Amino acid sequence: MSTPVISVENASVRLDGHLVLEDVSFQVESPAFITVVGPNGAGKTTLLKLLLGMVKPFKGSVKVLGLNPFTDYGRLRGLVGYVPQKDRVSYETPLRVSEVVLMGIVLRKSFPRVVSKDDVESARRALAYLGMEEHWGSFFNELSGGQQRRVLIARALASDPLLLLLDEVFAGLDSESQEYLINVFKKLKERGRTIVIVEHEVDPIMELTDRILVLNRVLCVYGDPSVVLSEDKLKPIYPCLKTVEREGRRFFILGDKHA
Amino acid sequence: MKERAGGSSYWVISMLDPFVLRAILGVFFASFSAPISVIMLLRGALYITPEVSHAALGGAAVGVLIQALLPAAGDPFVFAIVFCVATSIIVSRVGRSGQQALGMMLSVSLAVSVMLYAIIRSYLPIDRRILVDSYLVSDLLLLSEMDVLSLAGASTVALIVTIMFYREFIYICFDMETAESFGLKTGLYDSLLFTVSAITAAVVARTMGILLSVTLLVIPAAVSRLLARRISMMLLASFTVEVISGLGGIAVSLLYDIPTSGAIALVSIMLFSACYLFKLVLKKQK
Repeated sequence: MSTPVISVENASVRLDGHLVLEDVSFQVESPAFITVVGPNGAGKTTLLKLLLGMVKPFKGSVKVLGLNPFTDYGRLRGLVGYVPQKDRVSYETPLRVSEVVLMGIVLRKSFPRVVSKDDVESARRALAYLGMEEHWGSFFNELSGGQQRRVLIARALASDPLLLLLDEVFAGLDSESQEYLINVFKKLKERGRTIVIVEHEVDPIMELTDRILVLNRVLCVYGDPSVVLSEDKLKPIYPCLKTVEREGRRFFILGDKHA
Repeated sequence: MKERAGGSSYWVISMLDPFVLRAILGVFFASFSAPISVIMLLRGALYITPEVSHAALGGAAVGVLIQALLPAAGDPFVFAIVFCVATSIIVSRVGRSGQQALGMMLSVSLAVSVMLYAIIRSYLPIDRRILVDSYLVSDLLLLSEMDVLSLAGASTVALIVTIMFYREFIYICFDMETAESFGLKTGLYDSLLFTVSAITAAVVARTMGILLSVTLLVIPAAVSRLLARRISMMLLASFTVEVISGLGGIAVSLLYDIPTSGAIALVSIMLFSACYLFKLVLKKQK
């Protein structure tokens, strides 16, 4: 039996005295696209940080790619890519796109973190993968929101990670940019990469999603979209839930977007 | 003034004067604070540095008292640095729990520092009082050789650390969360950044005096933000503004016979105003 990509068992996390995650257990057996949804303050970002080894559970265990994120931090950091929410990045720091993408390689190295020709090649390749190679010398804070998101994904992909953790990368993007990212994730999925994405709406990424994880401090539901996306499962978590039928498809409006 | 400005020989003689030479060296070493001020600006924490420089007053008072009791205890400037570093680290740690906690901590540190200064000063003989008072409103022309050596040591250490960990500091400013996810010990580097900024705050407090330290700790970095787009150009602009303010201030001070720190502050504020107006005009033309 192969090692699960992610294995979380009874993990509970407390932040500043508040219980943020309680007895969360789930497994991702083989490469897949997992969509994590839940209301504001449900612990979605904390779950990503738990997988990254950035927050420690006071109870339970976590294994990522067969490694313990808290003791095998050094080995794991090259295997996992992370894209934070857009407001976590400072747009006041005038970095060039090249410097942003190289951050994904340089910080994974040991001090003095010398940039080699191969590093520059890898960074350029990652940027080209996102169709942004002509912006290599541009200033990051002068790009559009969609372009910035692509650069941040390129940064996460620069070290060719096996697992990609994405926090609300679709938030505020127009449909063209969303479509572009969906195609990128499709290609990554075909290459056997596992993607865990936190989103507020599942519709844009429905066709990619293998499993949906609904979180509200505790794990509410985890499974196939056809099973999870039903009114009786989602209504207790999203009281404002609305379903819309259009062209034979059913859309779920979860009604819990950030302000 | 006319008599002084009358010939170039006056300036040559002034430059050879050991007091003026030490003042120029003091300004030069204080200018090493330029890169860390720019990084603190990008970190969104530049306003903390001049506040931290207040701790130098309490530190210097304790240092002077200990030196009075134990002459072999060393330079009071070392105590000023220690107080600034301790305050900076405490403030940065407490500040993580919110702006209110940060503001409260800065006020408490200022109160402790002024309290130490006021109490200790009343027990000191007059010649020692002058030394402590020089941290409040300094006169660059009164720097001793020992002062210049201390400033050189502290500011060089700060500059070397800044150059060594420049990339880590910049990445922390840009995206601390992701930097941590890539394995960077962000807490450690952030504390190091605040430590280095505290050392430069102590250096500037010694050269300019605490009351005018803001002019060399904040204004050059603010000017660099107005003038430059790239970080490297910001660093260069900030350093240039500090040097021009310092040397220009010394010149104005000699020319018009006014206190050096005040003259440096005047030149610095004039530079900032000119750059701000220039930027404003450029914006309107666009």
